[in-house]
Amino acid sequence: MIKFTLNERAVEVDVPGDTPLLWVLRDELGLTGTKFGCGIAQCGACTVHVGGQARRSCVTPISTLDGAAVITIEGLAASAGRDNGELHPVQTAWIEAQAPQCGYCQSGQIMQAAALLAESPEPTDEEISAGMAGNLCRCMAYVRIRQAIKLAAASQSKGNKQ
Amino acid sequence: MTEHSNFSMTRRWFLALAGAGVTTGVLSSLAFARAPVGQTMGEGFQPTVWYAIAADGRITMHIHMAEMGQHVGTALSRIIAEELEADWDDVEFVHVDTDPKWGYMVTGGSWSVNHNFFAFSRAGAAGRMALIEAGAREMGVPAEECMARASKVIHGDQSISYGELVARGAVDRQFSKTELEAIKLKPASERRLLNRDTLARDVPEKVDGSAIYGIDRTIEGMVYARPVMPPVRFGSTVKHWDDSAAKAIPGYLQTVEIDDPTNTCQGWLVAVAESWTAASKAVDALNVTWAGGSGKETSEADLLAEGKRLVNDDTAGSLFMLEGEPDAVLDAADKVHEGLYQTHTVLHMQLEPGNALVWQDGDTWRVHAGNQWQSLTLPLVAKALEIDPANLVFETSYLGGGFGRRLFCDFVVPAALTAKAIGRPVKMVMARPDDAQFDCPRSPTVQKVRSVTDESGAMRAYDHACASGWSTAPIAPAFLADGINGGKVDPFSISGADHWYTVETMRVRTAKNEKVHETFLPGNLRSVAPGYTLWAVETHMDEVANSLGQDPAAFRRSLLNAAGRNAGEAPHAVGGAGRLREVLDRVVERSGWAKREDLPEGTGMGIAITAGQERAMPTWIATVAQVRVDRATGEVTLEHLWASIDAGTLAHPDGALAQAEGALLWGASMAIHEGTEIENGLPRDQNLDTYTPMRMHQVPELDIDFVTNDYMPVGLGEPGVIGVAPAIGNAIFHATGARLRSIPMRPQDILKALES
Amino acid sequence: MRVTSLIIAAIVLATPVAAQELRGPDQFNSIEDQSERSQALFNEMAKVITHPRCMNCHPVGDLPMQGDEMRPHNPPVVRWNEAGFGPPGLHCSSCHGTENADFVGSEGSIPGHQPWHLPPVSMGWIGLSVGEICAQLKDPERNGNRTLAEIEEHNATDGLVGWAWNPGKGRTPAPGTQEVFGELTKFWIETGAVCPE
Repeated sequence: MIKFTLNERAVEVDVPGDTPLLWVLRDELGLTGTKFGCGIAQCGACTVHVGGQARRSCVTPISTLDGAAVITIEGLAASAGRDNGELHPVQTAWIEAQAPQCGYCQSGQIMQAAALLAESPEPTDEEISAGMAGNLCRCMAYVRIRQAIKLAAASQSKGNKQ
Repeated sequence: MTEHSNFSMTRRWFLALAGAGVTTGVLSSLAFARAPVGQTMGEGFQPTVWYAIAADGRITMHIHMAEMGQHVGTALSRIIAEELEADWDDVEFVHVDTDPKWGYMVTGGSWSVNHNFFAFSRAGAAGRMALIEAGAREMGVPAEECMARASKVIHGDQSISYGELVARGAVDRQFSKTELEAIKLKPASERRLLNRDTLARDVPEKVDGSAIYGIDRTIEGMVYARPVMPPVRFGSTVKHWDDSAAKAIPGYLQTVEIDDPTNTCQGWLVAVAESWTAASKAVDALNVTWAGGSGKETSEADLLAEGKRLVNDDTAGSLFMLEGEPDAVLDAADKVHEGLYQTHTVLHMQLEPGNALVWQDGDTWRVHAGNQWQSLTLPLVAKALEIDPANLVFETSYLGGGFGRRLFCDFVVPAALTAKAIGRPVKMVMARPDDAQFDCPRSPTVQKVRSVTDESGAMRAYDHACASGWSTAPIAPAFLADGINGGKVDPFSISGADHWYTVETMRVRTAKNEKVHETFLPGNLRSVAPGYTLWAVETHMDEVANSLGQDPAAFRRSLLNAAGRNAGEAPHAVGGAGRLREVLDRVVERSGWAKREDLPEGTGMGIAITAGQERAMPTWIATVAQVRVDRATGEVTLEHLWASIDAGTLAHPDGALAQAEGALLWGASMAIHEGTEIENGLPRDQNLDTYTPMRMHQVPELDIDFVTNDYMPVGLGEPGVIGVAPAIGNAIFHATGARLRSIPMRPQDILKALES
Repeated sequence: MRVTSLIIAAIVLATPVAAQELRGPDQFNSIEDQSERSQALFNEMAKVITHPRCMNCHPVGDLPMQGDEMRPHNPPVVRWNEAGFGPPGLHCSSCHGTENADFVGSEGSIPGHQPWHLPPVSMGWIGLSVGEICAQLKDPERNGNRTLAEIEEHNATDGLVGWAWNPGKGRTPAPGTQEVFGELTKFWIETGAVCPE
């Protein structure tokens, strides 16, 4: 039995210890916003936060998460203190930039971008390129993903100054 | 006189509507155990099947095209709402199931807006007419004195809302096919939505994790499955299998040997378990031996060698197009420009791997899977299940990437057969390498182009031969067209070679590379044939311009005369090649083409002009690429892409821009970042560690410019892809003098070209 | 120096890594000249040092390598700064967990260890000769300001160094054991820590 917090709620799962977090989220806990793309940490579609850091859930055995704090796309807004239904600033920026096309990679992109912005609130282009290098977008919506990250940075910095 | 293979893709698809006998039924409550994209069909006044106006004023559009990133529901709803004079805030849409009333269902070819434009516009106009009649009656005024705006019928300072008219039961007019066809659309000057921007309605669900894709659906009592892939696509049979090791895996249930009446799955097993990880581990633990297997030793080089043989054999294949007698000019010419062009195998690698959830619901079988071509896949799955197609329903969902991979949804078959075999709902998910092995890749191609010019550069003969897999042949042979000299041609595998340049005599021949078909199932991949035919056309044109000592942009311009076969026709191609000339001029201006000789050493600019996806639906695009080439390493850096695009009216301009952005980068990715080769009958690269589409840091600056006009909308999903590879190849030539004739253009290819 | 050049050639040609023996320090007792013995001991250590398990994460630039064939790391991650944990938001630990983890659905595994990161650029080895690597190892300016004793301890006991012998599915382990590697280091230092030419 592995115990951890998922989107700030305590959960317990009884699955083989080598089961990747991705499949625990999707198939055991019913949170399907986190996506399966490659299974080998190449595409980033499965990105979640563990202990506040971006983490590829497809290569994270559940056995390594005892006591961990896991946040998924479904809990991102709440983890930043947003009330029910209100979006995280990164999600708002994603809408403003109309970033998603098919949308399949976007949960992972957003989780990765949120982790980037948490560490570097006003990232340079170089930081965006480096920090997002592990997230593939097969629709190639990269221009708007970059734009959305900058919008989120701007709105956060405006919020902080107020 | 021009002979063109007797084929109009537009007409054929519309004719196919008539024969669409697929299924009946309404989605059951069970089907909404977890909601797919659409919640419910609209209720209220339904002047046609395409939308309903409810008593509370909500207008629900019924979208029968698949959403895979184009925001198609938004674009199509704008078309209806425009003529309906609907208030956009009242509009919602649902993606529908496979009821036959929706007609033929295929989302591909960049057709959605173009093919539905008139039907949806007239549907909207019909509603407006009916509502104005009803509103006039209710207000007791003459209908001619009323107008409709923002979901209201207005007469002077009185008005009545659409919702109120429905609530009063005042409107119920239905329109016959003839009545619909007689409707005259309002003039472009009266448009209030088209060519004007709005937010895409599907975006919010795609940023909070709530959008349901094929892979996300669950149903009571379902089990998980992963297939065991045979050694090659065709001809394998399972000789023996043993799951004794798999039995030790907790949650493993059983393995099903697939006996497929459609022969889609040749030598497949499917492992079933209580979780996908258990099913996946069971696959790894199974001990299987196969017999047979077609093309197990075949390599990419074998396929290209066969292609080369076919283009050099004048008797191979059939003619797609013939104008005049090119041989007479070619034989008499002092100089023939000749080039051999090739493209390597490309994989879809849509990020959502192949998957399907299949279950039996009473007498009805249900499928939940992302799907671009329901009208093709549904009969296939019905045949596999040996049931009446009327007893099969496909739900719709968002697609985690289409790009043509979900046109032929062969992966539904093993899921369905497993569900049937074990009598439980089955969700089959392919691991990424399974998906890559079972992909329908873009065939490798070989093309030979020969042309003759006179002293001034006028083109006297153009002769194009192409050998490739024919994507249409195995899956929809009825869509093959007659070749001019007999035999068949696959228009989807040669389209684009019939370009818009003025030439005196012209011939296009296409040959089916059977060796490809023995090895894998060649599929349609974003931009389809123009993705490779224009690689040949536009590289060749550049070579000719350079050999004549002419500027490549000016040379192209000189061949765009918009006369004869290139004059264009209404409504889809008004202006013909003249519109291609306009985008060429615009991109030359915007990119600073005139100053390209001032670029630093090792940096160059190249141009390409294209009119994909097909002559019946040309999207006029001129593309310029700027590259920097490292002569020591062969590394190419794509610095900048400019594209000037005339796609007629834009139903959703920001969506159009997004499609253009993605398409340009797809073109760049296929040109210099991705691509694979067939090794031992399979794609060499089966996951995203070695198959390497463009990533964020490789994105060039993009400068995209749309021509604004009110012509009929054409396509946007694919056409932007087409010109990028030749523009990059031509830029590499400008930068270094090295001519690349094969894509992808990898550093080692560039070093090799630099040597020669 | 024949052995060394063969090893380097093997790396340059990116041929599959063959399992190698690692001789213990006692195998070198027959070499009477202490300086020669020391050099021979280092050449033996170099079988470990130049193995892909070690070289991949000792790039001279900002990009690590991966796999037995030493291809550029994909996804294309970068060192970012001297700490070598990757750029903001995308640390090595975004993928590399606390232990090796087998892939589900694909062959192979992702390596893991706590911590997982690149050494500073001054400790880059790729492209250097064995002699140059040796000189660098001894130079406190370029070895993280370590004494020879600390180098020995690092080689003998460091967990991330030790990962090279437990690299997970799909990767060839470094030759021998960390224990033997530590002993070789010890005797190399005791014989004067002489570098091969």
